[in-house]
Amino acid sequence: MDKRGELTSHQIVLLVLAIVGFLVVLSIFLVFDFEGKSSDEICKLSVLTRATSHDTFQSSVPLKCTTKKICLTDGKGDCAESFAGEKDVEEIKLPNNELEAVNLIEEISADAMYDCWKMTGEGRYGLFGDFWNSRGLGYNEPGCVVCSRVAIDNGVGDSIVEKVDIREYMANNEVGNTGLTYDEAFAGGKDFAGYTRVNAETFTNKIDNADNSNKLLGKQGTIDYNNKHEIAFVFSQIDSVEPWNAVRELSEDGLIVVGASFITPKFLGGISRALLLNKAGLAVAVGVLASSGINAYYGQTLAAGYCGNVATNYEESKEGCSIVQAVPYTAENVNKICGFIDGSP
Amino acid sequence: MNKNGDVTITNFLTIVIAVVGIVLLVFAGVRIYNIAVHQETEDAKNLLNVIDEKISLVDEGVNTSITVQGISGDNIWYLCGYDKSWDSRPGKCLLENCICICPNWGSESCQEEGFCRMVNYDNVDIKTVTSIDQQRIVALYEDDRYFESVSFCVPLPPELRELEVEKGEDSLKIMYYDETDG
Repeated sequence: MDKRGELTSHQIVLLVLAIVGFLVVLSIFLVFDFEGKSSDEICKLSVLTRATSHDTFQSSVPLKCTTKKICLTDGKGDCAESFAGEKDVEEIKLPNNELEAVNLIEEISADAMYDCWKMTGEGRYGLFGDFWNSRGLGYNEPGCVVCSRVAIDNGVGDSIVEKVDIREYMANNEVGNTGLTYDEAFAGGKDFAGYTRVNAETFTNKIDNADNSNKLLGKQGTIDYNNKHEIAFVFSQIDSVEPWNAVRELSEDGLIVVGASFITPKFLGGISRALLLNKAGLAVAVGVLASSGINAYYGQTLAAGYCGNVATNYEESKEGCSIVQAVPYTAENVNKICGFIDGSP
Repeated sequence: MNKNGDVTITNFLTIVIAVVGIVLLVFAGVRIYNIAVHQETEDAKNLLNVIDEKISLVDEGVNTSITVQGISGDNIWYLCGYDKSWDSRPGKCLLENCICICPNWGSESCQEEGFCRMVNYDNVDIKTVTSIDQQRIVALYEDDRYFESVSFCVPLPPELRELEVEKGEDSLKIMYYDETDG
């Protein structure tokens, strides 16, 4: 006979389940980095929201993407030259083992570039439809998002930095558990493996000796190395496919091209280059020859892109060209490739 | 025997689970709301904090450049400095010298919608120096000595800006050199 106040076995099970469930949810909130993950997810959501908004209202839909700041340190420094006074800087201590440290720098840099591409929709969403027209301006320059800034503290030795080869890392290592190398992931799949690798020397010569009058690969100034040992991964987009014509011209002996995607090969000589989107085509800003280990880190030109149809709210499809690339973080360099910058610093 | 109105153990558990669920939903909603709205204003406030912090780390007597990212949004924000030489300072400065970030040029905008920080310098000078093509002004002036235009405050459009900071014992100077054709 049940007495008043006695718990039945059914009620005990319910009680235990409720307590265990509460503890599981609590542990999820305590253990997982929701702050970081929610920022990424909010950025992606805002990208999608903007891309599917009417062109006229796109500039009114805020892009909730905040620049990540990553400091690679030997444990003693904190990248003060780059990030002094700034909040939410993620410090990563490099291993004492030189090879492991090199590998970690390569992995973090490759991930930063790939994450930037993924978060901004891999170039397939139109993000800056009416920025200039909504402000009564007639011209149209690339819009940008500075996805992340990666700085190497001064205390990290040149002997480590000069061994870093991000381009090689991206060609030979997989992104997470995707089963794809970074190159394949940027190109959109395994088909990449079937395309011929470029002759980097030929491409280097072609870029450096481009005929300006064709506006195919006109040089537009230089890329400056800064003294703060910092690179930014920048996404830029323009609503024109003229750059794609330049890209296709280069594909014979130039950029690695798969479908509508492209990725730069490994350039020779440790000279940094940045690709500039403009309405007339594609231009290149060229840096000076790297003279030290840290500048060799900057000298690795890293750029991947997509040109073609971009998703918008219009019934008819729109075209655009997008690039994600690494560039030494200075006002002059970033402003060279960006007409304006969206998102939060 | 259960009477009407008695809270049984099952009901109690249901209530507890419901309350926990509602609290979690409200918590998540508030977090998302705070991140999703007022982004432009938040960015402006954060930028002023960053500039203030970077200035504090600059050594006296040393000319240093700092790189900042301007604010994306509906307004062009301005970085302005006010010291006792100004007749009209934002009331937020409380009669002290200050630096402000404001959605439009002018102390009224700083007062109504901007953010200000008091600073301990007798002289606060924040300016934009614009290079002007000498050819364009030769018609206006008899000689071509004048080649720069100076305006108070530094505009902060959505691009990177390199600001030259010079700190003295009792002075703060922030200059932006606009190399585009004025």
